[in-house]
Amino acid sequence: MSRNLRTAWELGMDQSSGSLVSAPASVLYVVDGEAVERESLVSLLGRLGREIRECETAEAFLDQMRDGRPFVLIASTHLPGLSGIELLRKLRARGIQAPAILISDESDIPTAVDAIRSGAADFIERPYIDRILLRRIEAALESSESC
Amino acid sequence: MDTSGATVFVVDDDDAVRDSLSLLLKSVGLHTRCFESADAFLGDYDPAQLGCLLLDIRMPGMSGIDLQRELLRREASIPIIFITAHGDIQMAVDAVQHGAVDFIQKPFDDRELVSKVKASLADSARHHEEDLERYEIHKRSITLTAREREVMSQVVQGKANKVIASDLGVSQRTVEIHRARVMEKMKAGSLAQLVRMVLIAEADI
Repeated sequence: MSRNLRTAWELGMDQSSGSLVSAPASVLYVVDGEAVERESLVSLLGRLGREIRECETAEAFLDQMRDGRPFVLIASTHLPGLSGIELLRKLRARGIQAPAILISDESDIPTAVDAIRSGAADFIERPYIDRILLRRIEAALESSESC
Repeated sequence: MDTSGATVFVVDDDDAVRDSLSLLLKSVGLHTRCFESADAFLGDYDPAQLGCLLLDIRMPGMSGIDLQRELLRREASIPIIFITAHGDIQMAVDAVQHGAVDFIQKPFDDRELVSKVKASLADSARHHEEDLERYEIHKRSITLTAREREVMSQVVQGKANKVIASDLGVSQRTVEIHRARVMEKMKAGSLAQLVRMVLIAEADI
């Protein structure tokens, strides 16, 4: 194997586009206990052309993320078990710095403050505006893939 | 954490709010100073002063958010607690993303406010102490020669004198002498202390 080829291999080849990328593309995790909300998020995020994984609970997400793929987390603050903020704290406590965006049904400032202080990249209230949510997620993707 | 030398700065254009906040904070023994505008505060602010800032958002002239940005630009690390009657989620998210400690809505609970103020004063005192320590270590480290610095960086990696000597191409005795000087100049009583200092000052040394 020539040196250049080997380097390309080591860096990881993005198979879909054939372009050289520094890491495998980030997966988008949608964690929401409400099937309807989850589906509407998944169909909206489909426009970003990324792999999307759905989870009903924080626990299910923690199980799936073990495959080590880089990710951006989009989670509801209200989840059946661990809350979105508790999940975020758990990730940060493990040293996982992946960007996270929390989505809340309530317009509650203390929860928003808590989310950001716990390490959320952003906090968005429902109902959200599709275009704005997409833009925030794109910003999170950029920050996760630039480092 | 000793916060007795700390000051709570209250910046609000509303006289009644300033009076009631200062009364509340003084009643729990906190030294308080009030300003009616962001400009008045900036004109008087000394970054070496330990404390925290209770900041209104909507004020004529420079807003609380503008003041936060200005303090960031000046690299002032004073903790900021925003207090507002008109906040929304986006404003709160933005303020905290820019380093605000909290974002409290009026009307607020007196006890909760006092406990948040005390917590941020304790935080600020700890950072202040760390800054002083970092500065002290930095002062010591600049007295080291280039060779002593080299030896120090190898010593804290846990390398034995013999290994350092062969890496640097000098005798083991020379390494021992440099090592002793490093310990003396850095005022380190043990290798563990030296490692700790290097970790604290990592960015500077």
